[in-house]
Amino acid sequence: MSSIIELKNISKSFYKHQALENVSFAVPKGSIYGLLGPNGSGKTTLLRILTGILMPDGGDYLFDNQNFSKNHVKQIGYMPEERGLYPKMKANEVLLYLAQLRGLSKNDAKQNMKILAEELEIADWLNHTVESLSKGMQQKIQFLAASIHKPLFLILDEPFSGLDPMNAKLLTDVLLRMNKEGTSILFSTHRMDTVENLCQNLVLIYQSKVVMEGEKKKIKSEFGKRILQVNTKGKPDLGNQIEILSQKQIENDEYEYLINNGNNQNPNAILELFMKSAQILHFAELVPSIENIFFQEIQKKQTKPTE
Amino acid sequence: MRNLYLVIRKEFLTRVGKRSFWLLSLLGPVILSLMLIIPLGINNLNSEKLRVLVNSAHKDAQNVFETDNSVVYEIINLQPNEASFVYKNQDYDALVDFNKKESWQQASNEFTFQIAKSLSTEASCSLEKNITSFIAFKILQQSNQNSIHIKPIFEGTKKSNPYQEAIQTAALFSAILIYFFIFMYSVQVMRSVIEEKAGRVIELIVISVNPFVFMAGKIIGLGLVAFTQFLIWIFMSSLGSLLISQRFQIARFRNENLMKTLSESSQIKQTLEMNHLIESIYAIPFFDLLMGFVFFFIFGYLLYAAIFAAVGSLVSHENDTQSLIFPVTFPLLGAFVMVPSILKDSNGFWAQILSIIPFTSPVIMPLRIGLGVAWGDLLISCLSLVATFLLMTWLASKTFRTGILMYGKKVSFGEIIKNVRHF
Repeated sequence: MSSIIELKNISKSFYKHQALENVSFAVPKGSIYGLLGPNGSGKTTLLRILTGILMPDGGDYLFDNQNFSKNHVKQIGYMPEERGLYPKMKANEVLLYLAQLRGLSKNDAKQNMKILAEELEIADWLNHTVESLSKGMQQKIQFLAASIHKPLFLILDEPFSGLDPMNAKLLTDVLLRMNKEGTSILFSTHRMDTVENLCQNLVLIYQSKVVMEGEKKKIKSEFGKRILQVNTKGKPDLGNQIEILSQKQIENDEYEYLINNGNNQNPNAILELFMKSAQILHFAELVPSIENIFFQEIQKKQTKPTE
Repeated sequence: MRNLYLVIRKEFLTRVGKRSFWLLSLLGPVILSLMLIIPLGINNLNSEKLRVLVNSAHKDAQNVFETDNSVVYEIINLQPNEASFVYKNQDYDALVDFNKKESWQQASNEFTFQIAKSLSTEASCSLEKNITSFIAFKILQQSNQNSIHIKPIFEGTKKSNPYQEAIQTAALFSAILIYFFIFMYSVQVMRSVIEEKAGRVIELIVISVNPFVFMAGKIIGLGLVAFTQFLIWIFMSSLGSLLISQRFQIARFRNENLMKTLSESSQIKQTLEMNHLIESIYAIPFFDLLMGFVFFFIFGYLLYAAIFAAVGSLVSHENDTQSLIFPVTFPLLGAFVMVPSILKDSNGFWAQILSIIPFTSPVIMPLRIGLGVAWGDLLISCLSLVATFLLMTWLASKTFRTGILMYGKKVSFGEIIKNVRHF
């Protein structure tokens, strides 16, 4: 599958601070992609390079298989994390201004605005000043501003923050509709449920570097093998041959153990250890959530900071 | 170019659409006039009046020499030596004696003048006006001339231009206007950058627009707002003066119509005063002042607006600007404070220095243009302003480009310089 964007060894530094180091990943055309990373990991710098606000110090940035240039900017939609717009201007004036700066004619801008506003259920509010709108409505206006020019590639930084479940659902539906029509979408987010539910691919950035990247399914199966859940009747005597992540007493005589199988040994050997002193009620290989993987990988890096 | 136009249009329309713009446009001229009138009023309150003895046998002397804000006139009709005696013994400040040669019936400007005190500007004005009016009136009475040209009397004792006061006022007015507009609108450029930066909307804009184009559009847009406001002020004042001149039929006081008016009017003194006032307004070099004003306003504004845009791009909140506004506006304020001494000596050392320094010349040079300045000085001043404007705009655009994306750092002047050197 071809990529809408492809980054090869992108680096960027400010003064003495290295913000991005040899970052490489590709967003497949028509996919929904998740960009994860704790605060200060270089996400904002990366997004600014993707939108052409900043130029990388080194590496290649391909957009639709061509070297990225200012001409591609019109194909990109960007919703920054912190929202503002012009509080004293009317929402429709702000939207027209931004759309025209993106190269749209006034008529096209008006038409696109009308369609999207109706879909997002804010058509009746466009004639109000931005500051008089509720936070959720401002959020929708911001989304409208990012997507009014029908971009090929839409970058959304925490698009759901501040939205109630109803509006989050509304926005998700619009995003899925756009994705179906060919728009590739990149989420930069801390919300793991967004990634879990919407993204097909993801990249995790930590301390300026890519820690893991790829299809969500593959990442999950790769990391999911490593935790075993065992429920027993009676408390087993396990010694210190295996690493116990957690143990809890569920009922009088029933216990639940989470075992780290990081070195991926045959589960039979572990089960044998349990069977010696207790009766096994339940056994499972856990598929961890993206959230678990996120914490797990970052903790790994923190204990080995020199890697 | 389309984007430049869009940015200019947006900056212009959003501001001109605000109520505060129209409020200032309509009230501005009133406030400015008050700013000029109040100091004069206070000046009059403070100064002691000059006591002047006028010795004349003419029956209309009483009508011409009327006590005003600065001078108390007392009219006597005595022999010259008696008048001199009264002047010396009764503590008068000055004596104007028309009787000495008793020849006023043919004479043009035969009189003697003695004074024991230094003259304030207003007192000398009052004396000059009244003496001129008196002599002019006498000549008119005696001759059948249709028009006269009144020559200044205090020639040699005072600066040669009889309309100095009017010209000074006009020059001062244009200096105040320039100071006011540059300060007000460059600070607005800064505010608007900070607002956009704080609202992060700037990130959305620099995706589509080159930061330099954006900065230029903002500066030009706000400059056009300032210019529009200026035009409204001019329009309002012209309308006002047109109404006044129609209501009071000012034209009849001009030199060519003066004879006719005098023959109809019983108020000789007022007629002559009005004539003096109108003639002095016509003596103001409006064209030079206007050209100077437009040039120094445009480039002074562009220079300061570029600096303020850069400052605005470097801070995240308006509170952080307090420590930066003062150093930036200090030269402008300094120039404004120097205005009175420049008025006194418009070709002195300070006048020359301050009109070469581009940060002060926008206020000082229009002042000197009004009062008369050498072409060489004017050329150097213009060139230095334009060169500095180009240099500062280049530096400001460098700073702006990086500054608008920096957050959370408190910026000092040292850091600004470091920043500029780095890029």
